[in-house]
Amino acid sequence: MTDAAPDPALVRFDGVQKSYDGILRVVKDLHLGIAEGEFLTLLGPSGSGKTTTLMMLAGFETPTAGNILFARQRINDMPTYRRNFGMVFQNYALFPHMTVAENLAFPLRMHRFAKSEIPGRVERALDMIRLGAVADRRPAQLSGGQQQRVALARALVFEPRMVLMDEPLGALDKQLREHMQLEIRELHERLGLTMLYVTHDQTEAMTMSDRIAIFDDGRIQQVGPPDRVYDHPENAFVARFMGENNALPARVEARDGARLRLRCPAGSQLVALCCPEGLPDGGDAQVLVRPEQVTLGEATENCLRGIVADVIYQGDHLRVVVDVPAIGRLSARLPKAARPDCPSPGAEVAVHFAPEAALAFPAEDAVET
Amino acid sequence: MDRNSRLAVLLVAPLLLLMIVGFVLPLGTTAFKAVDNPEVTAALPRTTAALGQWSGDGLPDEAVYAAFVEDLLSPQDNRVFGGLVRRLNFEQTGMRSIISGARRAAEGLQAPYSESLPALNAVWGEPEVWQLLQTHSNPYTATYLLRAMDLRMAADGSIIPVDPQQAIFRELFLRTFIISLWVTVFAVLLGYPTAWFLSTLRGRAEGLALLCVLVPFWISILVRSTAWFIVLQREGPINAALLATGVIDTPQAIIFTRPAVYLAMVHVLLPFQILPLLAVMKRIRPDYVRAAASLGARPWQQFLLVYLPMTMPGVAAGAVMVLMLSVGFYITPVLVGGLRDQMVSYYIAYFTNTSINLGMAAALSLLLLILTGLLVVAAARVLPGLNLGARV
Ligand SMILES: Nc1ncnc2c1ncn2[C@@H]1O[C@H](COP(=O)(O)OP(=O)(O)O)[C@@H](O)[C@H]1O
Ligand SMILES: [Mg+2]
Repeated sequence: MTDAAPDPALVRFDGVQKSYDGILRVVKDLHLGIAEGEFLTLLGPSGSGKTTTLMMLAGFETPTAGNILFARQRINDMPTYRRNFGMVFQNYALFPHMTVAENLAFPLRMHRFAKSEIPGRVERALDMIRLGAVADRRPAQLSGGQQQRVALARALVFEPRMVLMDEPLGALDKQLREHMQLEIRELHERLGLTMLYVTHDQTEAMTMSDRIAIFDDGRIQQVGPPDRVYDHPENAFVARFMGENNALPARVEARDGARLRLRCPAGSQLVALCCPEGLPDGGDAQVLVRPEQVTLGEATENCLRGIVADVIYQGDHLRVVVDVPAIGRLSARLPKAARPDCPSPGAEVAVHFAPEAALAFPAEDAVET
Repeated sequence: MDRNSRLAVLLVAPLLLLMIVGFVLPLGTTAFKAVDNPEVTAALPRTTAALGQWSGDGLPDEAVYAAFVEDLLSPQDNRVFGGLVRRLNFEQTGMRSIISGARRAAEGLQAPYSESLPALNAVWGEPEVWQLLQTHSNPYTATYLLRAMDLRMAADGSIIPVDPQQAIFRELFLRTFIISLWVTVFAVLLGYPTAWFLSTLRGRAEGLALLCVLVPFWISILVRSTAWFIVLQREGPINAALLATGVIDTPQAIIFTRPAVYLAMVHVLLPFQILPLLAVMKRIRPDYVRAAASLGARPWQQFLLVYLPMTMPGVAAGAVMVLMLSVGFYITPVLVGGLRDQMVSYYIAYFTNTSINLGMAAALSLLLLILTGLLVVAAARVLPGLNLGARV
């Protein structure tokens, strides 16, 4: 880098590649910066290389090519124990032969904290996770949620330079998971720590992150704040992976600036935004619309007719499933208030959505992955 | 009893039978044999009855002498008499010729026997020999168990050490446990890194390496010990190789030494250490050591503070198994060890096959069993302590 301004990122992956067998690249040309104090989540399907990326940053794997920089220092070959990163593992990896307090004292002893200081720090860490009462128990005597909190405290107690977590909530049930998401987020805000978090759960990523990096097939597909990646996906993968979608098959007929005019197999016309990667005229496309963007009723643009297949009451909202001939099923998410005038199954309805809410991508079989 | 409980009894019956036949019966027999004392009563039934009246002070009266001669004269199975002679000679050297002499001369003896017997051999005129007969007309005896601890009962009933040249068993037991402990130590030291290496292998390599551990495991101990016998001989391949490379210029005595015993026993027992360790190590995910590293532990700390304590149950399980098995080892020390390297089992076999002294064989077995049991209990107490010792 020749420009005068120093790299503001605390961590930088600079063209990092990783191959376990020398043939298949599990991580391909990764460029990513993590700012100081940021909560960054690696989100992606299983096998996309998230864990491998985390392992390289933690020092358990070495990159096949490229550099990993921490505070502008190359750390590719630095042993893990000198990196000073707190880590939380999916199965917690609490030491079974030590009590909770001993587990928490372990990193303090390893980092040579003053002997007199250790009990106080352990106590404060236990208070932070509200588990002072179980200090003398073995991990096996704790519930999953308690173990998770101890693992978290252990990764934070020695004031690491950053914290890495690999699907730390994966083993918890839904309610506890949601509770812990908020708790971790709050800890992050309170302590101002830099965190790299790995998950395959997009709701979790949305809830907790400052920024999300969406992984697929060893590559970052998009990086950005949750609202950005959700509302403005840069490619079909991101659009399909984040949230729910209605996918409508269509063919590009004409273009009008950023807008595309498309025709569905049944003949209806659609207007949608073109995806950033572009679409050729006459090309097969897929128009993606989120269920919450679909509303009932007639409109001049993007109006489709069909028969109500199902109305599902989902507590906080209604889901109306409409069978559109030659296009397929369309799902609309309506506020509960719409319930009284909601058509019943079998009724004929019209649905529509705004052109700004629809994104046209190359059809799935035409997409090269 | 209702249908269900009858069914339950029926279901556990085979197991119960197996327990009785395979465990209670042999152990009970051994314990019984160690204190059983039938020889004197069987060969001298009348004498035994007559001695029952005797106070034990001074000399017994004529009735006892007469009963004794009558017993000697009664047509007897030579095996029963032979048992008596062996039994008494074991108690007191020299009894063989005294009793045999009396039996040969019994036909020509005249009453009163309390005079003719001492005339034949002055021993019969002293109380000790009659005390000996009386003591051992008891159906049970502590002699064998005492002897197994180099102790004996004096004529007056007090327990005293045996003559120094007869005192071999304490040293024997001590040697047995020292050899076994060293074998266990070597097995742990060799087995631990081996098991660790095996636990890191995956796929084909893992199967192949496991096979290398298991194949020797499946081959009989006799065959493996014989193989060591061949390899370690004076004319064996090791000496030949050392001679050929000029490291030594005369063949060295490798076989019939203590190191040869250690070598062969450790080899034979190593799988028993490796397999339980491997089972434990396979179950420890790499996460634990990684967690330790991420928390700032250097490689040696990762091992000493996390991996080793977590694999301790495997070390303990393997070590206890190796210890218990080596305490009872027989064929390997017999084949590759010298006389000073033999263990308790060697003497058990000796008393069973050569000197036909089942009482002594049983007493040694029983004592070995008890000592081994105590050792295992002690180990069970110490090993959680080992775990505590490595705690952070
Ligand atoms: N230690 C390893 N050796 C060989 N292949 C591995 C190893 N770890 C992961 N992989 C492979 O790398 C790919 C990416 O894995 P991973 O980084 O664990 O993905 P994720 O965490 O996103 O599920 C997968 O295909 C996986 O099989
Ligand atoms: Mg993973």
